[in-house]
Amino acid sequence: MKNFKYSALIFVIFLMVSCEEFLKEDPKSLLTAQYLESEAGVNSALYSAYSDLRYIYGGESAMNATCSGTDEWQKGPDGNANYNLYQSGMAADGAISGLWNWGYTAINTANAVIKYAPTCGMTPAEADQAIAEAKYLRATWYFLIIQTFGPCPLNLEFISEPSTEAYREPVSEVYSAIIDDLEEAKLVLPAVEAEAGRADAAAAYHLLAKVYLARATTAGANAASDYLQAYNNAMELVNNAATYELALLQDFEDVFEPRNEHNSEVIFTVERNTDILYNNAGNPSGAGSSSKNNIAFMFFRPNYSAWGVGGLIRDIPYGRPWHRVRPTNYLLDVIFQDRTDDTRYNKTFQTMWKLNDAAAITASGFVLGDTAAWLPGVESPRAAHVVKIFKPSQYYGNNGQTMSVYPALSKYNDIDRPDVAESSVRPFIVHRFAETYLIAAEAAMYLNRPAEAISLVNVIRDRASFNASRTTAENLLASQRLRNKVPDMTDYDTGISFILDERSRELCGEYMRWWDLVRTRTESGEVQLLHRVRNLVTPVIYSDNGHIPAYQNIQDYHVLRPIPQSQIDLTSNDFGQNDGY
Amino acid sequence: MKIKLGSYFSPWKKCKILIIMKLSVILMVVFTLNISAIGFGQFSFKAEDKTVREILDIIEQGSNYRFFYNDEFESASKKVSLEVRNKDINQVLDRILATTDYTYKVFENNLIVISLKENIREQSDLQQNIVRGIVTDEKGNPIAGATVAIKGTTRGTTTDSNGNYVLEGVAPGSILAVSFIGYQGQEITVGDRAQINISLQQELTALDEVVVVGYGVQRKSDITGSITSVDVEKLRDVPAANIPKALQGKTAGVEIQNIGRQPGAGTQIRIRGSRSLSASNDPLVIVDGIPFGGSINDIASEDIASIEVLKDASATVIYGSRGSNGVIIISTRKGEAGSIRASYNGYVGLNTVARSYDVYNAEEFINLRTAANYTNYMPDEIESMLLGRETDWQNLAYQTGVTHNHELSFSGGTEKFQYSMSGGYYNESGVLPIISYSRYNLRMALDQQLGKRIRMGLTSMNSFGTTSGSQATGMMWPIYSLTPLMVPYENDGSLNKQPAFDTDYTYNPLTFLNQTNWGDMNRRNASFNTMYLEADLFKGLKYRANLGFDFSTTKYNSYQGSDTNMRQGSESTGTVSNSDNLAYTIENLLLFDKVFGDHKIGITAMQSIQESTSTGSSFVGTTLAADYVQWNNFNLFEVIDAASSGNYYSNWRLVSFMGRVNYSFRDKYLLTVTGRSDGSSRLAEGKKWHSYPAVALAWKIKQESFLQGLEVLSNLKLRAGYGQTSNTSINPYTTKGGLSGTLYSFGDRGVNGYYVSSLPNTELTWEFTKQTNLGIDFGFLKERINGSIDFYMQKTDGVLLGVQLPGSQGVPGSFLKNIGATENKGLEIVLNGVILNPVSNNGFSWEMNANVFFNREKITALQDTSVTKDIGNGWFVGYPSSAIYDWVKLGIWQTDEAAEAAVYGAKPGDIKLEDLDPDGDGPLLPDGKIDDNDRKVLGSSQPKLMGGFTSTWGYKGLDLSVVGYFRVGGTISSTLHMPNNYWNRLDGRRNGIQVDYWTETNPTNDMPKPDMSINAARTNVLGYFDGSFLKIRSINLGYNLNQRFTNWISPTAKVRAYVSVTDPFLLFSPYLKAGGLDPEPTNNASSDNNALSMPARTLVVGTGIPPVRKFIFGVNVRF
Repeated sequence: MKNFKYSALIFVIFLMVSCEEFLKEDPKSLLTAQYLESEAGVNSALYSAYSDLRYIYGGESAMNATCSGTDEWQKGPDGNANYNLYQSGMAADGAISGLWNWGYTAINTANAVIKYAPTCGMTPAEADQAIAEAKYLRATWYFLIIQTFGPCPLNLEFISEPSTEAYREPVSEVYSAIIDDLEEAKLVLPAVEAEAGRADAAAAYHLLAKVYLARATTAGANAASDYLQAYNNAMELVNNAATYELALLQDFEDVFEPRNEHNSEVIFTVERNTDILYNNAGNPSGAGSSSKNNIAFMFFRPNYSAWGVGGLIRDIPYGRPWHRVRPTNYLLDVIFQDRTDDTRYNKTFQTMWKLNDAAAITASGFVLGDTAAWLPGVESPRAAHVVKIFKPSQYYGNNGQTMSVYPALSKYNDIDRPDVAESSVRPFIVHRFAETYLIAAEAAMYLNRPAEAISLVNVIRDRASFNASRTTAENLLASQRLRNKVPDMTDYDTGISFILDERSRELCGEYMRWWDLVRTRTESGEVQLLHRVRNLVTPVIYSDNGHIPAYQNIQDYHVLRPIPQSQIDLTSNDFGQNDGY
Repeated sequence: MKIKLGSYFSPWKKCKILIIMKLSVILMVVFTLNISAIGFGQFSFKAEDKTVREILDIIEQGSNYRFFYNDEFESASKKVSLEVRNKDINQVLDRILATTDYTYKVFENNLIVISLKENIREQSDLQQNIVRGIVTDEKGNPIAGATVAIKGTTRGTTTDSNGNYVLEGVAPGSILAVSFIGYQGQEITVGDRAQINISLQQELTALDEVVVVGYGVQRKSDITGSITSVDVEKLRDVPAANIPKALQGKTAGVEIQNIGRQPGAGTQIRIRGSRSLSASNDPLVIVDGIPFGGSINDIASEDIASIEVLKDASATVIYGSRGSNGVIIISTRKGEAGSIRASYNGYVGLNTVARSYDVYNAEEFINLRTAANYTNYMPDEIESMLLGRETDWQNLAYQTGVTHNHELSFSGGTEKFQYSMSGGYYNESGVLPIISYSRYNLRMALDQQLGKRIRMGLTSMNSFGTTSGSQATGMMWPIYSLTPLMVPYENDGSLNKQPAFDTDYTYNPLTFLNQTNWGDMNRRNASFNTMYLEADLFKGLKYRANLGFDFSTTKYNSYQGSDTNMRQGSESTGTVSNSDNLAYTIENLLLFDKVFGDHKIGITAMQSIQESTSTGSSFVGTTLAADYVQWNNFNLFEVIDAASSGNYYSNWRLVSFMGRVNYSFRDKYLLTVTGRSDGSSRLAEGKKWHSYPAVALAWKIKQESFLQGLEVLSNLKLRAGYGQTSNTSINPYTTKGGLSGTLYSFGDRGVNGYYVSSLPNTELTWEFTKQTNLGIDFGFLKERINGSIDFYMQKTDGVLLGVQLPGSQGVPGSFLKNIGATENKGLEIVLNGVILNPVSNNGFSWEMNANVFFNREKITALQDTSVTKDIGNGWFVGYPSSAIYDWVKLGIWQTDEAAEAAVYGAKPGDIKLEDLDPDGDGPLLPDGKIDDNDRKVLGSSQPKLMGGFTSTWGYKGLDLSVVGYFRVGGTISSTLHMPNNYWNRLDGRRNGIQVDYWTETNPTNDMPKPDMSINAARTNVLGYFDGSFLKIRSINLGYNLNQRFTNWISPTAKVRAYVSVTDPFLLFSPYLKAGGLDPEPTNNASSDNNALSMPARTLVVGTGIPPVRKFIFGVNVRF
């Protein structure tokens, strides 16, 4: 009897459960790839592909890829030595790997949109629109990658199976894919975006024009019609500006006016706003390739608070001085030689700082708001009520100094940051109408339509001459003098040289220079990057303090950036580094 | 003689008897009991018409017999006539009482009781008597809690606090078995003694100690696997915050590394190295038979009765997939029958900075800046230079912390019911202000015998731990980086908030002292409960049910105000993270033990299910209305956002079946065969189940006849085992793949995006480890010297590798695959010896325990055989998983090498890297440039040799012990020295640790020339150091108070007072000479921001709080 009782007890304690049922997993808190098959999922993938552009526009990775080591910018005190000076450590330096890694992530996400939009429950129109936006983004990313790294893997299908194999496709195929995407997108996308930041047809035309222009000089990929295509796509916008609600602003200064990022000249932006839940702003903890912060305003800024001017301290409008790069002598002295008829120098650079800390003012006779420092840009400026004047010969910002003195790029200044340490809440302007003119002009020149090229350039130069404080007549005179400096565009060497300079005057610091320089050639076929860095930025006025300057280091192979080492290390087949690295 | 006997037989009325009996009777009874019986003679007499009483009187007078009967002995007046001739007493009485209702009983002491037949039933009762005595140790000190049992019965008692015991109803022929842990048991025949004092000898042999093994206990001498028993008493001699810290250096094959130096910081435990590259390598912790999901740090050391470490497969296979990384079995204290016993352990300690960072002082800092060509000084700095003023930021910030520990426990019980309960409080404040860790523990263990066959019990352990102010570790950055030329206070006495504002935003470290605008708290409450029910079913067959219930919650809150170093003016943020874990285990066991002649067999069968569910929720608030609110009302933040991590649900389940047979033949040949089958929810469908076997053999050579005569050898045993275990310690849902979230906005409209961050894996299955263990146990001179040597070899296949996909795949997360293989082999030697025996050395004793071991780990395969290295993940075939792959630093380019340096784009003062032969196989020569092909495996964190020792000296009441451990070899990755970390940036912009840097006049090969624009790439090479060291863990001096001084508490009270110093010495450490503070890691690379491109699991020595030395005073009181 007792034994029976024990047995009964055992029986109760033995919990007999179905093992199979018991061992089933139910991931309640995770989203799996299946989510992307739903309508909400397709939208979320599209947003994600947009969002990855935040890694590029406003970030340090792309700044290093596009500005460092060009004819515009050279290494500042805290700049990346490898990318500014073309040092041997470039391949190991992951400074621009974000372009590659996040690019492919965005591409795969765009591929998911393209794959699932037709079946996710959207209306056909909605699906087409989503696909067109995805294709615009995919093309954007491939264009960034192909210009920077050369032949690269081409994924046009959504990846759902892991593989450690990867193969580089010829640039011709990648360009074809980019063009296919944009040709399709430009026809589907609405002329004007429904909301700020969305890709519209204008963005597709503009980008397509740029792609053709780049392909035109890419050996093995170029087609005879490339310049014509570039011209046509750009002219679609120029000729039908009203349809696309595009118009140049009257004053160059307003283009980069804070809170005016969605003006009529802007074609495509990478969005940020003041909503801290969604803007990826805050105090940038690091400037690596995994940061979505817009910190473009910090890179081009000298360390003004270290100039020894009592009463000049860091504040929100003057920004945080990371002095990653500083202008080359070529940019200041040659490109921006004209600073009177052409208003863009003064509207691109900040050259004057005011006293902003009353308690710390040391100079006698000065009060808050008086000029603390002035970089007049000439060796013998007129006397003025200024605590400290720095002449061009006093500009510095060498290695070995935290102090740096040079004009600061002001295009990205942000007054809406909550705090002096924080990153920017401003959208980043990626494509704007002024560039469309310059693209069309460049194409027109190579199509042997010099007059048209000149007239397109002159649209930009006319606007550049506009100074709100001058009379109309004075402005007219100024614009005429500017027009007179345009070469006749029949000689390609002079022509492209002028166009590149004009692009700098217009687009300086706008995250594209390095690509412009590897895209273009001298008449003898030398890549402009090599030509300009070797011949124009020398002799270096501002010495590199022990470092070997870029013009001595740069080699022919530097027209492509090194493939990120992690890509090579993680690929099981031989992926191959770009020649020379 | 007339006494009332009727009531005597009722055990419930003993008191009454004593009252009724005349004093003389008592004396007589006692007296008779104390002399031996003379024996009985023959009777010859003739009685005519005498009363029975008269006849009995005659017999009493003529013999030694005494009769007991009571007033109701009606037959006493009965007249009888009889004649006897040469009859013994029985025959006489038989005849006298033949016609009555009475009968009699003769006892050994010639006492004869006459009573009604019905009353004389249980004859044994009267035969038994009270035995009392005192149990002492060899020095005559009473032993409290010793067990005094009557052999062959279930009866017994324990000694009270004075060592006294009283046993009632002891038959004179009984044998008393006296035992006490740590002493040799004794057996004494009672005979006629009522007072038996027993002196126990301290036990030198530990062979018959019982060791806790998986699902049961075994005699130590019967163990076939590799199991280390930790002497818990000795462990307690060393004051330590938690068990792993106390275990450091005490167990061969177990590497315990400190991770971090702040109060409450944890440890990393590795048993016989690492097997898995992606899954967990942490050992399984079993508490009271149940897998312990909590933190081992939650358990107070006072609550522990025993710790065993199971190392080889034959021992761990019983825990199946959870045991592949070794098992630590902890048994908590149980109550013992006896009167209440109490103990108090307490200590108070002062925590001081053992070694502070050697940063540049003002003059050295100026020199550095000059060398770095950093000539920009702030006005205050210039003033300091003129005044010769400087600030030692470390001195300003460090403080002396205090550690308290108090533990109080009670236990006791009856034969059927035992209890044990304890409470503890631990509090430690750090050498940086504000940081503190405190823990409360409450524990209870109850055991109840139900009837003869069933036992049940419950243990409940509860802990409440709080770490506060952890963010104060952020003081370290300002402490070392601020220029010594800057002043901490303004002229008006207020804090100079941002002393180097123009250089950077760093706040004065003293701003941390104002805790109104920042704070944090991490509170962990854990409740671990086990219950068992054990029933003896048939002879030798037992059933046992175990139920474990483990619940813990963690609540983390932090707040960073805008005006703090953490936020540096940015908007304030607060976080709240709550997580909880609920796990249960249900086990059913059948245990069978039987001896058949020479064969001893033990069988264990088990079925279990386990389930664990964790959930977490975490929110971040931005811009708080008022600092003082901190995390107390999230509604007062402007924006609340769910944190990107910390919101989860995670559940796993495991179903297991296990069987084990222990067989021994003649106690010489031992065999253990184990099998286990596990089903895990974490693996892919169709890959969830696996079974694994293990077998182990042991041969007790000492038992063989040919060694019996060899007195010097007391033990010799050979062990061999082979088994397989496996690992599923991967996160649930790893097979499913997943999406990650991202944010975007269109104008003012915020949107949430998702992208594929990891891909599904439908192939994920078990990672197997096959392990062979060979061991030898030996003992000499009655175990005075004993030890063991173990050699093992482990091979792990199907290693779960988190494969990072090439960037071009577009999926940033890594992807787990069963590829690759690893191997571990090693040797462990343990030696224990009593070098000086107190008996033969005038009370002076010296005991040494030492262990030394090494483990050689290597990856034997990655993916397919063609892949020999995975640089991205830091894995290289033929090297440990902790391999360091980097450029080779040859030194610094010297002035006379300028031309050669220029070839490599370098100049004198730069780091000179080795230009390796590009393919590493000979014919090709170095290629004249330094690139990625010039990297190689430089070493790994794996030491050549590790070990530890404990040396204990005793003299009378004094004892002195020294505990130390050491590491030989192994490479430290010191992010402290890596310029990317800014502690050794050598740019002059901020202060840093003092190193020997190159200048034209100091042509060192140690560190490069200071340079304002030092390039962080390829400078990790400055941070690799030899990791050897010898650390004296603690020195403890104790005194056991003489009984004279403790009598006032209780005659048996034991009071030990001690002083300790922890981490007093760090010796033979090359890293210390290089400017580091402590060669033990502070972090792993994944949680060290500055570990530039190092594999996530690399342990690094970073920039933590300086190491802490504690001076402790404590007392242990037991009574």
